[in-house]
Amino acid sequence: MADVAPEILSRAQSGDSLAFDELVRFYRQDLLRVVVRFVGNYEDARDVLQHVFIKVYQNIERWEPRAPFWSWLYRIAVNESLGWKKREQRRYGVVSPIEELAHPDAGSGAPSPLEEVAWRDLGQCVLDAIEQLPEMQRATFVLRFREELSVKETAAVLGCAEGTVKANGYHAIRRLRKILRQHDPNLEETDESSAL
Amino acid sequence: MSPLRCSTVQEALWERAASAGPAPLTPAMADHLSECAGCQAEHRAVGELLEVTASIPDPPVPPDMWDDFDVELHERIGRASGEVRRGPWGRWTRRAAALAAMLVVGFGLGALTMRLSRPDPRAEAEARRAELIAQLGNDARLEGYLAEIEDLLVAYRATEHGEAVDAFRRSLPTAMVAGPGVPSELDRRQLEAQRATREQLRSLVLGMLATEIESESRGFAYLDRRIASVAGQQLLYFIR
Repeated sequence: MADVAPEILSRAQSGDSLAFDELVRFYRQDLLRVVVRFVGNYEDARDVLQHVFIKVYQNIERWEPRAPFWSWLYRIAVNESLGWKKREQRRYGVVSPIEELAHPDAGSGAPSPLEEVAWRDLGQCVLDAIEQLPEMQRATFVLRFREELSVKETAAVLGCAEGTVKANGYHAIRRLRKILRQHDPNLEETDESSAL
Repeated sequence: MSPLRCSTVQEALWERAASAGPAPLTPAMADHLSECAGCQAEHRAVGELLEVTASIPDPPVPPDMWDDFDVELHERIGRASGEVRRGPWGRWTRRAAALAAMLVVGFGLGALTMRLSRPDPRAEAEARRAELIAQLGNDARLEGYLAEIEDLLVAYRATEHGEAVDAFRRSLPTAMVAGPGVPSELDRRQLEAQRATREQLRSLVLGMLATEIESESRGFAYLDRRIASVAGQQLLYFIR
């Protein structure tokens, strides 16, 4: 992940609004991608992104180059996105911002798992399953395997140890496999009886 | 078949996928994997899961996504900066006014209730404390509380814990309500304990990076709760 030129960052930290505008244009596309992967639609993502940049504006002078600037931005974006999700869930109950795909036979009885899997795109299943993960596992999984950040980068963004990222990644994969198994009739449950 | 359980091998597969790189499986695990159809399927499924996850296309960005984005951002920053300038004192003042109103009502009701039934003072204090903490809420901001508590304790310390309690009470912010009476020895000891709590809080705050406090909402929420709790205890002292 590239960072904006240091002199632009330095000017933005000094309160130069033109430099801040340049910084916004430099990062907004990447941050939008991160935010929309948590929020699920562009309308809300745009609003969340505005809040992200307001926070950046208010705190940029405190940023210190201990870690890449982009990881600080990502952290704010992830926190704002998770905060938005929490507020939405408090307001509306459990929300699934990823648009649900209705099965064509939904009106004439529940489709079988086989029909469901056959009709649904696997990617959609994965997105739905990700939505069911606990917050930190979801953040870790999205950053690691959607954004394809390294363990170290993910730890920097989430402000935790690399071991925590690995543990959350492990639990996320384990849980996703359990969720997806329910939709995948071709996969058998772990056969404990095969142990010798 | 190697003497490994499928669950052990599959946990290793998940762990391997979650870690930094493709660490090789141990010979025993590789042996098990080569012979176990269930674990092979799991191995494929985990690989497919991660591959699909990385390749799920994002929906196309709407063409008007960035229209007026900068203009709107500047307006919002302007509004937010105004709020910041009014800052925590503005919020504090509003909150204190609400508290004062609540306390007036509370005192009135309390006096009436005491005349009527003389309720358990401890239960009453607990209920009032719960009300105060609820009133302070999570949206209370760090600086306002810290400044407020700082002022209270500095003023208290200035009396050297001596007789000049009135000086201490006069030093209270005008929006706050000082309770009747001179603090008892028990109250003084409690305030000392609160001072120690406040010092712990200060260490906690200073120990956290400013950027993390600002950007880490969970940290904020925790601090808010902690500060609200301390501030609630402080206020409880004055109304008891």
